[in-house]
Amino acid sequence: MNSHRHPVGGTIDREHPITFRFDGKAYSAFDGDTLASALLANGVRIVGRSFKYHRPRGIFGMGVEEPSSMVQLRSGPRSEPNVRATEVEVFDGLEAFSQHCWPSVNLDFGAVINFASPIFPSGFYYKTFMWPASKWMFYEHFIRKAAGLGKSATERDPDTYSKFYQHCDVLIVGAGPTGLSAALSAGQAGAKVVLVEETGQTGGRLNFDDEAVDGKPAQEWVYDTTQKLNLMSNVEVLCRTTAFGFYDQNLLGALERIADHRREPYGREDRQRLRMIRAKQVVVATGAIERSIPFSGNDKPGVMLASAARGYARRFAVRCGKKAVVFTNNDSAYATVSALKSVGVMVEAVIDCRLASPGEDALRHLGNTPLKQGFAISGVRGMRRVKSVEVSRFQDNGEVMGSPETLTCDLVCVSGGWTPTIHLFSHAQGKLMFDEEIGAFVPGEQLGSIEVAGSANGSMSLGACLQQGSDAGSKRSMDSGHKSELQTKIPQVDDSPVTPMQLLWQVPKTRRNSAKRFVDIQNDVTVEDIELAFAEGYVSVEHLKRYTTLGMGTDQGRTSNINGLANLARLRRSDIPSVGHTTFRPPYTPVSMGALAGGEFGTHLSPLRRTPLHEWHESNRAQMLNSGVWKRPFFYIKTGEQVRDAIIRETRQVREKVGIVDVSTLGKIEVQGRDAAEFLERVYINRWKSLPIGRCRYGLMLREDGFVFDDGTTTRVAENEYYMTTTTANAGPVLEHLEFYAQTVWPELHVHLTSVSDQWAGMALAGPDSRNVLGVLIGETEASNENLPYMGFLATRIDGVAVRIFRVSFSGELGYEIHIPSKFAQKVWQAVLEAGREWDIAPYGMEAMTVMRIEKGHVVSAELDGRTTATDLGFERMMKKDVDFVGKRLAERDALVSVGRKQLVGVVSLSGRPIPKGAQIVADREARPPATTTGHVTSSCYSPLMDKEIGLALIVDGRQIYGKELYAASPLTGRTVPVEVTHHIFVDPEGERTRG
Amino acid sequence: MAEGRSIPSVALQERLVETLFQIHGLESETAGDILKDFGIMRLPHDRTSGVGNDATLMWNGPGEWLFESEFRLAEETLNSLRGLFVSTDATVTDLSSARTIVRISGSSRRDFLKKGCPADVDAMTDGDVISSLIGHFTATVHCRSDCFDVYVLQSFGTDFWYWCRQNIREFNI
Repeated sequence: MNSHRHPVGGTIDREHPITFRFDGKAYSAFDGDTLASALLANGVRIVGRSFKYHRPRGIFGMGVEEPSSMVQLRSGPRSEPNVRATEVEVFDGLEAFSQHCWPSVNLDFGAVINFASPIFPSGFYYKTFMWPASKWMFYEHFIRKAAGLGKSATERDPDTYSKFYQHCDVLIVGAGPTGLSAALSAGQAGAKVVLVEETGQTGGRLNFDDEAVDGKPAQEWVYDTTQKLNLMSNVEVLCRTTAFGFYDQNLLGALERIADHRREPYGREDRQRLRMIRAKQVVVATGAIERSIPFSGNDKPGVMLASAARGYARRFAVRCGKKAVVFTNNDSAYATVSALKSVGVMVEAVIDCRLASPGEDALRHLGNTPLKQGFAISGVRGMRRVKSVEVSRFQDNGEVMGSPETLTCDLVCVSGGWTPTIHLFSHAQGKLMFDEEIGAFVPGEQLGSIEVAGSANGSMSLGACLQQGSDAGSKRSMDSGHKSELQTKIPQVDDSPVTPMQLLWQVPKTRRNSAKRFVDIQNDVTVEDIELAFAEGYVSVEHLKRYTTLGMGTDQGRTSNINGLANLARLRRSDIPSVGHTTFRPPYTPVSMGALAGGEFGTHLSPLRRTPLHEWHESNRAQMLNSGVWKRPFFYIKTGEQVRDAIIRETRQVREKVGIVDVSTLGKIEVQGRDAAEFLERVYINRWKSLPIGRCRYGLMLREDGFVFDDGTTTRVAENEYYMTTTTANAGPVLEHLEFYAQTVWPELHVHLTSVSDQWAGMALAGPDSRNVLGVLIGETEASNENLPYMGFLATRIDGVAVRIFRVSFSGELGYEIHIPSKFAQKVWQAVLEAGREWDIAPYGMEAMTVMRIEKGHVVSAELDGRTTATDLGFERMMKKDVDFVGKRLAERDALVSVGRKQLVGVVSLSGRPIPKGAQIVADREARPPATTTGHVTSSCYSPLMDKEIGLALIVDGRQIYGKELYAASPLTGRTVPVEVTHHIFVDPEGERTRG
Repeated sequence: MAEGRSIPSVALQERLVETLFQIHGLESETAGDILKDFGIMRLPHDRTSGVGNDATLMWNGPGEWLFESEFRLAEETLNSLRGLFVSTDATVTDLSSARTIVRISGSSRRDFLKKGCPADVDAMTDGDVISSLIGHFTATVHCRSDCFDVYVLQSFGTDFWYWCRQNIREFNI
């Protein structure tokens, strides 16, 4: 059934055959296969095309390191690009597609670029598309079209994602031999342990290496240890979970792929979960990744990492070829020989660049396979896949010499050594140092609560991994407060001595073999590209990376980085440590947008605040408006009415009769304590100690720099109790501002601040008949002008509910604000409507309120924009001269009091056309940007009362030019409206209505 | 059934209380005398709560406590406390309408909270109180023996309820 699968062996479940499709063609596999192993088992060798040259690419690795075989997974809304075939667990019905090719992966027209590759060296775009500069956008269109890998789904993702916060004593990343050993000792010590493993099973390389632990196959030890961990209530083993980022204070981001290995999630299960794990101690046991050796033609399908070929053979019983050659500079690749033979692959020879004989264990794996010591592969023959290799004698000076020998093969297994996976340690700001023995960067000094152990720490032998893991687990559990009574037994392994590796960063080209030597297979970066970049002056590793795109792909150069650095070092005639390395940044592997968003999208993108009257508004035809995070009624529309009609009707209702509006969103702060008056005296520009109990006062606050911060009314409710209101937008910032001063600047003052914004709902009752309505509610005497004068306060009851009534007006009409405990808001609102029925009361919305406040010249955030002073807004007489307050000193600086500042004025349209909001004020009707402006329109509306288009504006020395004709020009709409500058209060400047 | 062995489940319930106050400035030396009528004999330690006669005092930040009573009437209790505080610098503010309280119970209640709360929920025991976030929402979380009470601003109450409903799905099969 699978022509390239050995009939026995592997850990796949042969009892459960499954069917999947690749590029539309059906193939068979077994439960336990990855997409890569299944494709190899079916003889599929070309899986994708390279990024730049569209060269055919096969499967190169076996896991997260895979640079080549990226596929488009699934179709429809669950379609996902750039998924490594090596990490996809095959399920019945899986669909995968090759990407970055047309019309097919086997016949890709884009491959024509490969033939023209000599004219596409690194930096090609920068050199070629510089002129003319104006055409860049034109070029970019085509470059973008040619580039890119895969396509995002265009339909809405049907799955759900979530977030999950977790805390533990010891977090262990990686469940290979080191991680399992660490988890066991930490778990036995009683620490709360989380063990995360990015693949679907624990064990790491022990799953496919022919190793023995305690005299038994290593897989048995993995199974037993995992079982023990699963039985410990203090240990959580999370497979299919990748720790992708290490953040401050030991916070690690981990992506758990809950249902990626199934056709779709079960029931209400999330597809993926973003775990944010805060650990007291962290053990990084992320292992090491095998690297390649750049030689001519080393990217052809059929060339793969020796460990991958070994893994496919041992774990999946897959034959990656029929006849293989192993090319290595170290002992580890020899195990591939026995693995390949075990599934029937003929191994033609082992090519070892070292002259020294390999270690005893390596020779055991070699058996009777020919060994060519002191040789290297100098070239690969074959167009679309390996057909043979040329082997040349390799000299100590790094040169090849003599006539090459041709070996027929269809599989080349390469091992250039192992590179520790130190990404997480690096995210945590750990410093790296170069280990000459293994030719890779390893962790330098260990960080306080982070320990890197095993292969990730540069220790490649199994015995060392088990020992380091156990030690790390014990130490880290102890550091988190858990000491084991038992000494964890370290399993026995037979680590025979190995012959040191010979560092080999590239095999020189020969006259016969001048094909490209790839360093970065994903981004098509070759040794020649690095040489060219160096010749052009890119001698810094960071510049080299950006110029050549070395290590910038989705694989982040896991198999290529060190080869790139080494080749740069060779060209610079320096060593690798002095070249340095690029910076590792999260995420280690891509994280889906779905997981990052979790459930926070759509209506949950940001939280919504609703007033206690929200339901009433919605059921009474209010058009709701998002105002910051609040939902507020914009207007209430009647059948057959246009928006403008509704706003005009509501405005007239208040001006002529009585209306009621929900003002619950106002910020409200209770200021209490024996120094409350003194505190207010210091934060407001005006006086407060003189305010009698039962009276309100308008107050203005400045920032420290002298500009206006916020305004509102504050009421003295009791001797040492004040009730402050703020603008809706500044409710939070004002409380923070006040708390800052109370806690840090004037801690000697006895003052307590409490936000009561949610405690009190608010409604403004406004209009000539408002007192009549209030009289019905609380009695005529109580509501009289004598008992409740302008800026007066009354604590009373409406329908048995204790309420606070303030005689203040934002509309410019006779008005009252009634504040009610939120849970009784609807009851009182209904009572007010009932009481006002005789006077034809009606609700009004935010827009009518805005119209009336513009008519009255009241300022809001449009005018309090952080650039205006109290003087600009006409409040200069409120400012205390003799007492200090926040912002006073800087409000008096020359720049803030000199002539030539913009001042608040009114503007009236002379053409009858609406005044554009945000329009610039210019003196010349024909002015076009860039033009000198003298101000800008802050707010504008149609005034039903005046039957005119009016607005508020900030104009330079505006109060000196009342009556002058200027122009409100909007560069956005292209409209220019002639306006007359007026006083900013259009309605009732003497305040007779509000005080009446 | 012991937690962790039962069928995953979470139950949500809005909890209504008559009285919820913010108290500032109580001194540990005198608080027991002042609050003894409510059965609260001492100030709770940081991040914990104390229970009296239909009265719970919850730590709510340095020098701040939430006073909660299920049945005591807010207005009367407020006047009573103000009377008790008259010779001190302590103050009390009525927040009885200012919070939506959601009770979260069921065997998976901790896992449910972990979907939005970055604090160490597993470390909380009966009586512990934290101020943290749940999803987007600032919340006070009070751990009780068999449930959690989560206090959010009343204006966010509806949206928090929606958040809970969305995140409860996986636990209630």
